[in-house]
Amino acid sequence: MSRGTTAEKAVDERIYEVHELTRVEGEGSLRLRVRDGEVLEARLGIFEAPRYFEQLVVGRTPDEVIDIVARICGICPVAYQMSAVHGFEDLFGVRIDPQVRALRRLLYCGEWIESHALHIYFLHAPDFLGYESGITMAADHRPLVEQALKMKKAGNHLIKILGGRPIHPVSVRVGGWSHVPRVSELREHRAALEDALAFAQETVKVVSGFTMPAFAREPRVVSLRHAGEYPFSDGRIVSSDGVDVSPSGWREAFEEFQVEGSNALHARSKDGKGAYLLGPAARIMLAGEQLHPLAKEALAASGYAELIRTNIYASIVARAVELVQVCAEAIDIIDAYRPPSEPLVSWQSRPGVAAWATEAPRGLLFHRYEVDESGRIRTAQIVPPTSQNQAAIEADLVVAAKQVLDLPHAEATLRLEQMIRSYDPCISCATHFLDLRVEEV
Amino acid sequence: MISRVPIFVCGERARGDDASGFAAVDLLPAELHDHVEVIPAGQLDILLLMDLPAETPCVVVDAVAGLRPGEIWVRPLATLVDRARAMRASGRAAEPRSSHELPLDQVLALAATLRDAPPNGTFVGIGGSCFDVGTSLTAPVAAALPAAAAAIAAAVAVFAATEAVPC
Repeated sequence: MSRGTTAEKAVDERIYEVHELTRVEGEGSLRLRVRDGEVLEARLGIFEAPRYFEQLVVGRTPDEVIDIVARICGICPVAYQMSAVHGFEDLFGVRIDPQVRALRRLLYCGEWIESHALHIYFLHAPDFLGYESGITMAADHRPLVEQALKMKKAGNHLIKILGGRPIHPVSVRVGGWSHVPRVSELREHRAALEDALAFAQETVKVVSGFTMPAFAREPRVVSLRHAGEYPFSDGRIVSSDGVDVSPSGWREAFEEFQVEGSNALHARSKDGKGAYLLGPAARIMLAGEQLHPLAKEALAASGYAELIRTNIYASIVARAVELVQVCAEAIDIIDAYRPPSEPLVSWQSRPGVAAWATEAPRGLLFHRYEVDESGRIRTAQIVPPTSQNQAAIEADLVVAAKQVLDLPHAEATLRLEQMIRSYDPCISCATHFLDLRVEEV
Repeated sequence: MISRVPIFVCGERARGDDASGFAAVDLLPAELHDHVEVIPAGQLDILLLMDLPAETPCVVVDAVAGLRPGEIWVRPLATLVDRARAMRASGRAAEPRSSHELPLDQVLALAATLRDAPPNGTFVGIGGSCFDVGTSLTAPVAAALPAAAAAIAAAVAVFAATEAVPC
């Protein structure tokens, strides 16, 4: 499970190291150094090679950008498309048909279903049930794993119906869709989503029954919040302590910075208040009143409505509640669906800044593009949720250290890994930047 | 009833010898086209295997590192499942770092666990040596493509002759 762990260095100093974190997306490491109960170093190292997407899109048109940024991640390509397309439409003053908007929410539902199902059952549940992987877990919990695979497939198939293929969809366009589904296509998938909804409700019960390691830190949380719906692509960026900016205004409140030892930029708020948490628990804390009635019911029945505020391990419950949310909302959207009268509206490029934040499964994802007079990208900035969560992960490692000191070394290390996995980090998403500085002598 | 044997082609066309599976399938004889369904799989996904009705035979084609370049390696899928289980039992299994990177033999083993039986089919591996992005097939691998195509065709012929697979 944990490769490269090292034993105690000295009687009063302990080092917990995992050179390659498992069951996370991408390549990262963990290092925690504690002396006499005091944490000297808590670091999430990210050594996956940079992927240069912010340079790859320079010189491209907005519609090309939408297809290129989808390739940043095979789990959350929709999030990348949504942040980009909303930014461009905001800059160009594009007004879309309400059914176009509904289909985009449906596409996002598909992504959250497949992403959350994958994380809960294959990446995180093995920690709670005492298995080294989802594969070994399958032997003893076959019905759960089979159902999880069916649920993931239901999400991927929804993306395929809307986006042309189950991963890296291709039909999202500035102004709408290059293709919209027939009513019958969506209705045919309704039964699979009904099954997924039932299993999501069961999932909340299952994960609520897990034993949560002790942990207490009330983090500062950030997410989108909308007055009339659970946040995907619209609303305001808000925090638990008063940040309130538009989806295009992320840079008014936050900034990126580079940290030694990580190929992903970190992020912080400009008010100096430090780390903040994104993702399912943050969304429920800030926008829980907009949960679907079935998701609200599941959250209340779980008994975790309060604990998800302070125990990061309980994020698995928040993620399961969101599974109920997106399965239920997907069914509602399908039931109300009528093909849009204008699937794709025309638009005119204009120079300026296209910026927007939407909610990826793992949390807030911000894009910013400078568009030149010829309608091409001059510069790009992409701030994924895992980049923003790095500081919160390291802050939680400091708290978790105190909880594991009495455990055997291997068990303590595993517990720390489990804590990191609670964030569902997507390291491959986070390592896309290129900060090239040429020094002339 | 038309019989079609699914051929899952793994690999990435833009990465040197990793494209060998696609190149080999391109050489399959025309008379075989009505009997196969070529499915580009990239990295073999458990969902592809679970979508197959139980007992339905398939062929999995992939480039293999560690073999001599151009060497053709044909085994029943069950053999790969046994190997994955033995490696895991001995603690030598490659650790999947993420869901993006589950090795092929472990995907097959997971399918076997969920189905109570190994997937029915044949693996055709093509030894490769260079998998760098933007490179072409190496000369030994390019030279071995007719033999790889013949191995795939032979595997399909066995199943096409013995199984009636719904299209």
